[in-house]
Amino acid sequence: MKRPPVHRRLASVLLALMIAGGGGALAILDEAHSFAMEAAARHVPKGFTVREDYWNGELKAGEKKIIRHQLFKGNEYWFWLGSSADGAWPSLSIYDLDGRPVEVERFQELHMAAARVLPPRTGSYLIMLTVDSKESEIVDWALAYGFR
Amino acid sequence: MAAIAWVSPLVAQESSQQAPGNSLPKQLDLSSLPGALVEDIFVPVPSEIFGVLDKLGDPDWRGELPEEGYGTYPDRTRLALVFGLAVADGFLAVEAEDREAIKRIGREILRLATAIGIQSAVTPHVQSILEASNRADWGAILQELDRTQATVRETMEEMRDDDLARCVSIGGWLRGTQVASSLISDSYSQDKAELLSQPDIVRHFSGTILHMDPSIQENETMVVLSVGLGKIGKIMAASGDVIGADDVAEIHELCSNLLDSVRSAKPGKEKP
Repeated sequence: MKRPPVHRRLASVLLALMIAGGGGALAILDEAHSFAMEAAARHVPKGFTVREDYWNGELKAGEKKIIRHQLFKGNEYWFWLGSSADGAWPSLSIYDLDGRPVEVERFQELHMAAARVLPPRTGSYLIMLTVDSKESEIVDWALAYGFR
Repeated sequence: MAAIAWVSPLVAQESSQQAPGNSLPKQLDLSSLPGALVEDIFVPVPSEIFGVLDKLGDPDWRGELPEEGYGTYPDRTRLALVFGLAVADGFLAVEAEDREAIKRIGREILRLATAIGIQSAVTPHVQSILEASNRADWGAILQELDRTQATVRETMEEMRDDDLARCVSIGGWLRGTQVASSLISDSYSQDKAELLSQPDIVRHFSGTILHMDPSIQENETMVVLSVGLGKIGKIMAASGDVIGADDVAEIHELCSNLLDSVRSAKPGKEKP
């Protein structure tokens, strides 16, 4: 999918900030979700249902966050991670409770990353994420997921 | 030309950047996690389990559909629990591809939302669900049910009713688990039974009840739920990967008893 040119994304962030007014920080977190959804758009036509719920927050560039989440064997999952920070390179990995990585496919681009999982068993898994950036000290992030 | 000159350096900078690669560990040491745990827990939607049951067999979804409405309740705690139950029934009706059931459940969801005081937030979702049911657009209905849950949670949090939002989740999970365990019992297999391995979810619910406002925690129904969830959690945790047929039946019975307690005029005593 073609990504909108940089100047259009900046304009949309500025517009969101103007509309949000005092909620400027909230507008930036939503932009992170927009990047996650941009990554998700590649997989929705393939039958993945995107959950409405998503995790989000801020972290220092390079800092790691861990999310514990229930997955079901028999489903196929994609996790999509976005960040709108300048120079943001998100990355994520998914581990079972023995600490072994379980993703079968991954991609990483500026502002977005994703990982696909076919859980070998039903249970809890750990999703570790980080966002590297040489241009931003504090970065926003949003993690969404879909299944089929 | 000025606009292009302004844009070009940014585009050039973006395209010249190389991906730094995945800096995350190849193996995780659970005794020493390299990052902070995010506290938000998201409960899976029923369709995450129902979809797998569909792949593993031919469940009798219609046989699990509710035959009657959801009644009226004197307190918002039980209303919230039943609201969650009704939304879970919406997911079930989609699996059954029963348009009339979806419409009936959609109207009940709206009625319950009105009783709780969140009608304006829920109405657009129910309208979308009813329209999608006319088109038999099952995917759209599933998405709209998920959106309904998210909207209800956000609305209740704005109303500082976080505890009621959690009750909606508990009600929905109990109903989804009741249906799943019933279908698994009908045609048992280890692969299907494994879907009930959700001790973390149960632990999460038990934990949220402990942190609820005392007025809700001490609600008779919540007391019964807390005990019942503890029993369900123990079965799931003890079973590990292999949940036997007897355990599936016990989980089903516990869920059914808890839901009966929620829906009865007087909270029922826990059956042995």
